[in-house]
Amino acid sequence: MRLFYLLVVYALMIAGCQRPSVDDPTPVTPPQVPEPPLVDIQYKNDSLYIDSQLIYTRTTTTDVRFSCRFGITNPAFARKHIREYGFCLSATDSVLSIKNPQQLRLKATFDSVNYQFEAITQDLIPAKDYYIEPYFIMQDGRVYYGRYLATPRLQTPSWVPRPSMNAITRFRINQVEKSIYSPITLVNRTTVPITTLNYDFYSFICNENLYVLDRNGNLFQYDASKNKWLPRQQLTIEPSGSFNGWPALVFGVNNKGYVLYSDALVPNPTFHWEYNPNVDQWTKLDTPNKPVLAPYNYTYQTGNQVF
Amino acid sequence: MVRFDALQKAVQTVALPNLTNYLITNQPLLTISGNAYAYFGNYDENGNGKLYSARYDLATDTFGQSSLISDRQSDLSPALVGSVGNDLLFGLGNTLKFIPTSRIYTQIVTTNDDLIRYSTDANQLTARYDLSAIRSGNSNTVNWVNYKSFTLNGRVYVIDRSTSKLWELTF
Repeated sequence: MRLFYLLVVYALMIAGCQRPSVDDPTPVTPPQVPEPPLVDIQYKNDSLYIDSQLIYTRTTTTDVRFSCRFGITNPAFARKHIREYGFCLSATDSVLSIKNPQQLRLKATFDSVNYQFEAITQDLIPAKDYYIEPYFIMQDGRVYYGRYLATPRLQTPSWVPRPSMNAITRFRINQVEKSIYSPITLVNRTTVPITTLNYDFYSFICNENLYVLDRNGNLFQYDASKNKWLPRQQLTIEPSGSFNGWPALVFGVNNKGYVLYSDALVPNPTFHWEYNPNVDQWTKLDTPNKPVLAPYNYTYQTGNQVF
Repeated sequence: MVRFDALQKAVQTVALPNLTNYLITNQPLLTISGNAYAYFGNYDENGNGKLYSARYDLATDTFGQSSLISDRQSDLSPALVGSVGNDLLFGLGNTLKFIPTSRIYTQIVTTNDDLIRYSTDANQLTARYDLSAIRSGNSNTVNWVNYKSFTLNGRVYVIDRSTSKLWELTF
């Protein structure tokens, strides 16, 4: 016990004799679990391949998103065997490595729906050249760089002699000039009470009012003065109760709304309705020479005529 | 090509071959103040492009001389189109630029957040606005194609089809 005491006192004396930490040039870092040793893979014939790579830039910000799609034909490279996805990025060095502390190591997130990994950065300088390369780190610590992937150069036809390839992608982002933009105010108004606009967007304007129609014939009018959507008379769509064929042709002219539509179940007739906003009423028209609607249609209006 | 006459409530087949061909190949056509304007972009394989407009004359079925709207490289593929007064408004589409020096198939996608205003009276671009604040979802991939513009009593509105949100744009 006395010996233990002496050892403790001795250890404290030794510690007290060390140079103060302020003189130590090495930064103090929190303790980290050491990573396994990283070994670059040097083979081209492993069956993990990059499908494509996209670099997304914006005209109004310096945000950049990197997206890399890939496929796996060898079970040895299944996702469960990969510890980290990412991109090496450098503005000065075209030879990229995750072990180089001077280069940016952008860790990516995996998108299992699109089978790609993505990373975002906001710190790039516009109009400056950057080098980028995707990488994976396997669970056993091996690093797999894009330069070693067995992907053929897709843009070069196979019969054309392929020049030596630069595996690293060089790119630059646009210069963002905020001063070129004129002032604009964006005001969020009441949401359209139709949730299927992505699939069917039918609208027309009467008396400077906007009307929006959904695929079941529900009609809403936007009252701009009150910022409200008002339900109007529903269009009874024949014969199915909903648009069930080629997209309907919907337009407003002469302050009335019109719908032309051919149902998939009825091969010949085209149905034609007119909406009168003054009485909030739909009327079926028996117009001669109804056109045969095509899957893609377009209206061009001038005066009282619509082409 | 058919014509619907709202006064006679009659549909009639008409022959407008130039307009028909244009709509089949390009589709974009915008009517302001009773006049039709076509807009289209030309670009080379390096992504360098220019955006033009031309006025369409229904009486003669001809398109007038093309006017340059913008020669900015990313000002192509208008997707959100509208008008206010005699001005055309264009929300511009994403542009793709291929990087041939990469071994991996790589493209740079530039998402254009700009709305540009082109005066048909002065035949020039008069303003550029930042619309990035109204983009929804993944702003790097969502195109202005998902948006639709309306002008009501001189006010410009935009509907985001993916969220059904309605925005009013005040210049």
